[in-house]
Amino acid sequence: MSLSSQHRIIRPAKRLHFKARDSDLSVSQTMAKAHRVMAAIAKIYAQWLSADLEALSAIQENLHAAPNDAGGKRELFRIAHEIKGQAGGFGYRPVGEIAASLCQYLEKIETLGSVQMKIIDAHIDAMRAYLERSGEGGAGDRGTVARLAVMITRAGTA
Amino acid sequence: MGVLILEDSANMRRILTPLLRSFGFEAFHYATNSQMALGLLRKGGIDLSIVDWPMKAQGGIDFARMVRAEKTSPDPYLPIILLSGFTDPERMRIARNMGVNEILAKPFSPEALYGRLTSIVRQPRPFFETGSYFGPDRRTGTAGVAVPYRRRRDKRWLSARKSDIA
Repeated sequence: MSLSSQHRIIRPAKRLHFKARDSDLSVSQTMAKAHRVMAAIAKIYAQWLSADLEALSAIQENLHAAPNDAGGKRELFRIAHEIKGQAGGFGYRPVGEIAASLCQYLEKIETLGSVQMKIIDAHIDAMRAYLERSGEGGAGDRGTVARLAVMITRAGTA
Repeated sequence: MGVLILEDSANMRRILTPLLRSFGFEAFHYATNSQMALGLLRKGGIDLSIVDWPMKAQGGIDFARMVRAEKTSPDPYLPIILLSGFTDPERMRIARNMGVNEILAKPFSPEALYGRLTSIVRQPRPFFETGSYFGPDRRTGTAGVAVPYRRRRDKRWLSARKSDIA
């Protein structure tokens, strides 16, 4: 521990260093094991994504009926944010990008009217369309994100 | 080794658990809000925490603040890795100021998570206590090596290389 007039520097005990077992596995073997874990999750990720999109659709329907439901908007953001944080890691990068665009948009808008709902619908439809034709690769999906960006700009909120 | 996962997304918990197990973690403790996480920390057996920054309050940032700043904190030096889908500079600054050790942007690769863990295990940052901050060194890239020392070391290395070239 060292002291000065402005601050104190503390070097905590390296408890994890002492606890971390010397594994028999090399770093490359450990990473191979981790990638097997990710590959196993990737096989079922489409089901998770499908469930998330169904949940988004249910909220979307509710918001069409009651656009001023703040809880609905928050939940929409939460699920979109979850998709944004996961899809890219399991082969659904374009879906992650569309979800990121939806999150950004939801953060910018304060109220939901017909224009805003149209943009939200377009995002959810684009994610659903990608999932339906998943396996065809991400070609052309940059175009989807770009089209959504243009739509947002035209709506005057970007 | 025990790890606390503060994450309200069931899917993210399902991703993190087998990944961390493949890295050698054996005991898993789950919480969905900061109060619950603090309760688990008080029970002991936790060596590391991985926390999310959700939209709602009582998430990872709140937990980091309580662990670092509260007088009754059960473990002020607990290593904290923050998972975040928000990577704008302002939020990163807030996270650093709350005393998180490492920040990992989502979606993350196994290599990125392993890298953060390795950094915490092998090169833990020293803690700084100032009038307004308590937590790991906020400067990135120092990885526990004081900058003046590193500069001296680099100068020595550079002069050695120059003499090699000459």
